[in-house]
Amino acid sequence: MADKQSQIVVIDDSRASLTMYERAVSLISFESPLEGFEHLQNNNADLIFLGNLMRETDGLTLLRKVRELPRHLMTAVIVMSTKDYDQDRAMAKKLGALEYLIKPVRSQVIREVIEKYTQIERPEQ
Amino acid sequence: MPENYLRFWGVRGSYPAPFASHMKIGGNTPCVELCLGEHTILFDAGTGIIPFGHRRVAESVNGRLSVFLTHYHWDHISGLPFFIPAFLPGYSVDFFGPADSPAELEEHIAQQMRAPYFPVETETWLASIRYHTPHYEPISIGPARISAFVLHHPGLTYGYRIEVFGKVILYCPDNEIYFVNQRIDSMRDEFDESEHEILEQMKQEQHGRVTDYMRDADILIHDAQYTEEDYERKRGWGHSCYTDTVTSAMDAGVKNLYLFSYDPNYDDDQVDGLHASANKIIAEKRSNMICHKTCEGLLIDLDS
Repeated sequence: MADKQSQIVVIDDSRASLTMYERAVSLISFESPLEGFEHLQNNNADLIFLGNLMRETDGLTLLRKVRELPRHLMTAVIVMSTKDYDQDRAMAKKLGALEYLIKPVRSQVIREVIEKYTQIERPEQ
Repeated sequence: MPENYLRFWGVRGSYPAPFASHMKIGGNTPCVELCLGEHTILFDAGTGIIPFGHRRVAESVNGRLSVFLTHYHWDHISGLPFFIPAFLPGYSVDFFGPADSPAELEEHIAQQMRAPYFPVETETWLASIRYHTPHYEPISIGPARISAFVLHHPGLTYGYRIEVFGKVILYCPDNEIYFVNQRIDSMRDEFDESEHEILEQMKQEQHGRVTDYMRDADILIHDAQYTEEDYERKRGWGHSCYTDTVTSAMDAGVKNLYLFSYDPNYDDDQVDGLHASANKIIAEKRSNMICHKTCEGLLIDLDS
């Protein structure tokens, strides 16, 4: 089962994308980037997934703000986007994102990414 | 001339197309003027801003100009090296655009005007120049309230929503509406059957996202760069097929759609054909939306 000590946070205003994450692992999710950011201001995380094209903001602008929080200077971040462009990948990498994945992403792939970057074990099937 | 109007100075996507076969539509790249009495707001600074600047100086109008940039691809900023008001004392220009800071915005604009690309740098601009990065916070200029939202195009690209005189105007020059939906269709077999329902939800969400920002717009100026045939070959390039633009706008209850960012390879006849096809789609759906063939010089009276 998932390691309860590890905390995975997802900020994405796509409800369907959040459902795909929730199939993969137990996590804290926010459809509102503002609420997600407020959570990150006050809490640590082991891994953060960020959507990119959101109604209130874009994920890379949000990532810049997250990186300004001392507690998240080095937090592992994955950007999950509908935009498949090198320019966006380069911007994400510059901001320290470990991966830039293009939607749609299978639950299985989400699980593999989580296992790669955290100590969370694969949930029993 | 009405006191309040929108005027198109450049409507081409990608690169200027100054060809004889294209002149009814025009060959300049994006620049749209929103005149609100003493306030002049420009959207993008493609080559269309050059004739705007000449007109401005010829008419000796030197009030404040506000220029909202959607992004920094050449076709959206390449008029600035020849934008005469920026070089003249007595003018003032406020630039707005997507960037982390005003200094970064200034840098994005300045880069194209440095050696070896151009002999005159932005440091020679004698107008009062200011740079602003409001991100997603609304900006008020005269009677207009302008806010940014993010579009599907390489790099950080904004669309702008303008609320003025009870009207909603949307400017979305470069935006590939349904990239993710096409991708979902092409990848469906790679997903477990239990995930197919989520994929359908994702597609509906994308349609909802697009129609949400278009919702009930009085004037929608939107990317309609490709025919269906060309979109098949250029999917993922960050521009829309005109049929996606038309159907989304109808679903969103848009009143007036202005086709924009035409492919520079399309001559006047091809744009006529694209417009006729758009009207056919609208007629078949029995929609009340009016689809306009946008061309250089087209003026929309906001007082009527």
